[in-house]
Parts: sequence; C-alpha cells; structure tokens
Amino acid sequence: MSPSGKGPPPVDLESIDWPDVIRRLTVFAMKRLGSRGSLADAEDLAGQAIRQFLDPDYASWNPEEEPDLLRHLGSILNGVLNNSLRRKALGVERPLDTPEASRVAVEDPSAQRRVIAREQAGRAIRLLSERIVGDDLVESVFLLELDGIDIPSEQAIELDRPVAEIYKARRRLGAHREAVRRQLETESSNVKEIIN
Amino acid sequence: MSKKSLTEQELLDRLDASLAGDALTEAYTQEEVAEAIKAAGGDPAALGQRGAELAKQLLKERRLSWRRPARQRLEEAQSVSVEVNLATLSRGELLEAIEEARKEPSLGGLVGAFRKRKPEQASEEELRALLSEMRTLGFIIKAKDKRRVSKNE
Repeated sequence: MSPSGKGPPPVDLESIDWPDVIRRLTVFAMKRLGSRGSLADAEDLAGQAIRQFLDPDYASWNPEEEPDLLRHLGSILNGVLNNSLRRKALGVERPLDTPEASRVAVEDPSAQRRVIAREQAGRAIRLLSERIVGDDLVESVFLLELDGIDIPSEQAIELDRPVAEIYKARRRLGAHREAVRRQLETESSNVKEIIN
Repeated sequence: MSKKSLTEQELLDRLDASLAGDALTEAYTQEEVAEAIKAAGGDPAALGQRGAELAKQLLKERRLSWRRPARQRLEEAQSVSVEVNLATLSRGELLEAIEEARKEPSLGGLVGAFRKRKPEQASEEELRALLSEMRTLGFIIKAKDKRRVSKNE
C-alpha cells in the first residue's frame, strides 16, 4: 500500500532489468505471432507493450492484483497483438479451404474468415490430441490447459509433480503445437496454390 | 462464478498464449531466451540495449509528464486575460487599469510596494512596468488556482 493508504504501492521502475524484459517479451511475441510476423514485428510488439506500460495515460500496474511484472506486460502485449490482428483481419482474404467456407463466402466474406478459423482451430486441437497420445504428463497438462488451469505452479499442484517437470512437459506440448501449426499452414498454402 | 463455455478457437488461442507465456517465467533461463533470439536471426545484446534505451527515454518522459497539463493550465489562465498592448494606453487608461487591478486582493500589495509612491506620482513608463508585473502575477495566481481546483476534483 502507498504511504497515503490509497492506490497501489510505489514501484521502482528504474531498477527493472529492462534488457531482460524486452528480450523475454520479444520471444513471447515471436511465439504468439508464429508465422504471422518476423523478429522485427515481435520486437515492435514488445516495445509497444513497454510503451503502454510506462504511459501515465494508461491504467497503472497494480502489483497487488498482478504481482508478476512480466505476466502483466504479457497481457498488455496480448491486447496490442489482438488489436493489430483485428485491424489486419478487416482487409485479409483467405483461400476457400472448405465447402462450408465457400458457401458462406458468397454471402459474407467476414463469415468466411470466421468459419475457416473455427474449422482450423478444431482441427488443430484434434491433431494435437493425437500427437501427444502416450505422453501421460503432456496429456494431463493439455487437459488442464483446456480446463483453464494454465499456471504451471497450479498444474504442478494438481498433478503432484515438481514444477520443473511441468515446464519440461509444457515445452514438449509447445513443440507438438508448433508442428501442428506448420502442418496446417502447409496444407493451407497448398490449397492456395491449387486455387491460383 | 459461472464458467464461460469457450469455442475451440478461443481454447486454442488461450493454449497458445499460455505456452508462449513460459518465456516470461523461470521456465526459460536468460541463456535460453538469448538462444531463441539468435535462432530467429537476432542479436540478444543489441536487442537488450535497445530495450534499455527505450525504457530510459520513456521513464524520462514519464517524469516530465506533469509539465504538459501544467503548461496547458497556464495557457488557459493566460487566454482568459484580455490581451492589451500597454504601449498604446494613455496615462489615464493606465491609472484606471491599475485601480481596477487593486481591487484584486492578491495584487493590491504590489501597488503598495510600488516605490513607496502613489501611482498617480509615477511616470507613464513606471505605470506600464507596474501594470505589466500585475498582469504576470495575475496569470500565475490564476494558473495556481486552476491547478489546485483540478487537483481537488
């Protein structure tokens, strides 16, 4: 609590390890962007998140609500990214991947995009589920994630495993997710080639 | 609290955000973070340097951010006063303007301290100097009042 008893406690912003912060945020942004952006785009997103964090016109960080600065910055970055993707989506056309998408595209191009995204997401989850069969810990982590328990320390408690093991399992899950993403992108670009 | 049922797309997006978030935790060492940047063709040291410079610049702007509204309030206070070119005022008009300003309690003392003489005994040049000082002081007082009011709101 602040000396006046009102508002969040003061934070020494000067003492933050900013080089580490921007490096981690950039890697986070790279993972969030996947093939949708470059390293420069990721760094730009990280910079925007820091800019917003330090701008007095935006709501200030309240460590009592979110004690972890990096998690707080991560959620700012997610907001910046979602806004950017929403803006881009307004002008982006995609190949007609499925019959359902083709049907709705005639009537409503934005509905076409929604259908494609929904179908791809469903397919991605199915493919991911198939890939992790046999790795019990990864399967358990995946199920917890789907159930909304997404903090590694909480997953460790749920599964009665050391958090270090959970981190490793999450990396394996991440690698499978990346493979699925690549598979779907390859399929999508193949469809695009056939259309063109 | 009731749980909202998420679509597959929302579930996948949440999973992606969660797994990516490990880069923001102890799950990744600083060396691993640097390796990830190198693997993408970047220079971790240069990136860190740019981040530090950005933060330094933003923190400086943040420290000085009080100036912007303060300057705005001062300009507002100044804009409410009637701009008069003192050089064009006659002796009578100068005395009249000073008499008017004396009614403002916070400015009266300035006239009293005016070289221990009555304004009527002063030269036109001295009257202009006095009126100019009164106007400046008036601006500052108004700006301070405005700042105090907006702080209390």
